[in-house]
Amino acid sequence: MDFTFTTDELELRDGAREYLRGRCTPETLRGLVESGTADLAGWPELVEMGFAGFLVPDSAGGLGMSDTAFVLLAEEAGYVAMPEPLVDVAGIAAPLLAALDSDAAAQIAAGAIRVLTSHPLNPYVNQLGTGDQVLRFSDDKVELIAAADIETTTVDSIDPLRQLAHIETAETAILAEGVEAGTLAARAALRGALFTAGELLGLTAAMIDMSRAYAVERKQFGVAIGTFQAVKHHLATAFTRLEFARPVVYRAAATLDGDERRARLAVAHAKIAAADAATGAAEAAIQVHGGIGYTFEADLHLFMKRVWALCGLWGDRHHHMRFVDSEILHGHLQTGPATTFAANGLASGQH
Amino acid sequence: MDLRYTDEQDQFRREVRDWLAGHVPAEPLPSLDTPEGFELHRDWERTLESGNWGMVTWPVEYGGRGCNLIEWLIFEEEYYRAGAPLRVSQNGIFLLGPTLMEFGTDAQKARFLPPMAAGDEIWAQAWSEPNAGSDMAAIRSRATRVTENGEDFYVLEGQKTWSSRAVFADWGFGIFRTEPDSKRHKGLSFILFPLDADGITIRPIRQLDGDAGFAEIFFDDARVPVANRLGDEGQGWHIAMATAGFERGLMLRSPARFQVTARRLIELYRQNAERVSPATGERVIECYLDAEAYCLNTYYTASRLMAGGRIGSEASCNKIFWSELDRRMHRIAMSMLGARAELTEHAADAVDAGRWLDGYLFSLAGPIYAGTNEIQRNIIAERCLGLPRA
Repeated sequence: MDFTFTTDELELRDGAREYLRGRCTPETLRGLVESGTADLAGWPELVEMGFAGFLVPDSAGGLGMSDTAFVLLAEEAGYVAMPEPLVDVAGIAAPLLAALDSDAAAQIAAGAIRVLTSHPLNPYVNQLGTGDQVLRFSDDKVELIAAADIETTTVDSIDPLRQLAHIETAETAILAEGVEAGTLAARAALRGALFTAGELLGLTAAMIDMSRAYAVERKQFGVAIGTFQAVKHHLATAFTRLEFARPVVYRAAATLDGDERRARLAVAHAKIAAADAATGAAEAAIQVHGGIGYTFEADLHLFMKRVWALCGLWGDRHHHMRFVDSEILHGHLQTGPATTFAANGLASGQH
Repeated sequence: MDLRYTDEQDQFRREVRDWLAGHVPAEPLPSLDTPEGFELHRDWERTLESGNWGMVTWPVEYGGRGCNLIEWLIFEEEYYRAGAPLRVSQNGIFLLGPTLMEFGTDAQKARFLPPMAAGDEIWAQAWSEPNAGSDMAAIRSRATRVTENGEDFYVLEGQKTWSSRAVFADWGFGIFRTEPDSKRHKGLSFILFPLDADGITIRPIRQLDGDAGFAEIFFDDARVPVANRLGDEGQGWHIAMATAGFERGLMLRSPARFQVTARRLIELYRQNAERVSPATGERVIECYLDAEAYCLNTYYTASRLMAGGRIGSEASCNKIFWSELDRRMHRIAMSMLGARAELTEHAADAVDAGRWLDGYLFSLAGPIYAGTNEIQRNIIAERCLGLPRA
């Protein structure tokens, strides 16, 4: 039993943190919003950093890192509200294509292509650019759609840095059909929910930090508003929720390849816990900011809006709750002491 | 990261499980806040000690098993899984014992640790005073040093309150002002005193459930030898903070306790699913998930501590999380019991022997004792987030 990250994983996280906080600053984000283009010319840099091929095996030119390490990366991307579709391309499409022995995985790692996703849980494609491909999941098939063949209509999101498109028509290449397609779609949803939960953790931490900074700087009644207990307690509650969501998300990453139902349950918990922590932190943050939080003038809105978007992606709260309900209230999964890590040890079969 | 137990850990679990299966009383013991219940719980401590399962986290040299935090968690899981009695020795095992090991003299360790482990001496804690609750540094109880017939004593004067176990326990520990006119955290000393000493009067306080779970302690010219002081004179606050320090905070409420409650809540929901409101199922699931989150967070923290990590003020999050979860679980349970919710354990029709009601009452104390949740939130805001003090 070792619930810690390796030194390698933490160093990678620290490197990503330093890079992302330098590159993707609130000023950069504001610039993108004002230009109205969300020009994402920075993808080659992310490829250079190894992020695109993070989960692609060494043999295909990737870093061959673990899902737990990718959660840390997603957390850092969330902390800076990075607009690039890192989870889609690097977290879902790349490892899935690698598992199918598709050349596309190596091409993603090399930065030659980007592959985005469209899934019954979230049909809109985010940040579809020229030359991008789309991995489209449906109940009975998985298709790879080449950019040139896609006709889209744009769909407005409240998050100005999410540029959504609905695929109208497309020529497709079928990658999988039938049962296999269903399995792949489920697998993609699992990864999508897990890594989105990672992003939500980062967004939560960022909102707490910016609220903290504001509460120290903003004075009323002659003192910093952060001296007021009412303000302190909003942020302490948000911080507590975040502290308790983190290990839930990390556990889901560590058990993703284990027993299927347990993995599904762990991911459901991760998405629910991270989304609840993020939603609560967003409300605490806007309350601490006061009027300025309700404007485009503070950075907070970009983070809150990302949270609201991500809460609904890869299964909303209801979707995941229904699964937990089916296993816990209406199923026969053992609960109680000694069952938490049960799929892995003695505590399992015995009751 | 490897979330599987090792073979040794599985073996340890099996050993605990087998021993408990052969020793846990078949019927629940009466409340430890009654004279009869207290003595039965003391007997249980002696039974545990006979199998060397009393002080698993204590080092081997002090008669424990030297269990690390993961083994302790396994032990606790099995302990709660088996429905074993509450630990009447909790103040000794987790608070005073480790503090004695850290700050006590060899003579003090030899005098106090063995009877503590054997259940022969049960300890009460004495921190709060009528005017020093959340503001503990405001304590006024005094210990004045006097020499009589060549012997050094402290004369204890003052009053302590909310003293858990004090009604039936044998000894107490707390901090007293040894330096006259000293202020706040300074001039305090950590002193051990027998509860039956002359000049010490115990007044039981009737708690919400009607039992006398805690008491006021009055000191009126009570004399204890200077050798009963733990650590240096004036070092009391520092030692008290170590006593309330993190690892012990981690051990105050193990996750298994709440996982049992969550499981019982799920069972209660299933029995009442046809008649409760549609939203109830989701609220029950949220409790189950939070109990799991508490477990995961504890393993995560334990792993980091074992790998040499340090945990600071974020430990205050723990207290907030489990106490508010416990209250919520019991509140939801009470809401499902309808007209039977008010029935005490003595009522023939009481559901689960009034355990939900009892638990609900006790859960209301959770956000208050061991540092109120308001104080914990201040600590988080000031020490983790760096917000300014008022």
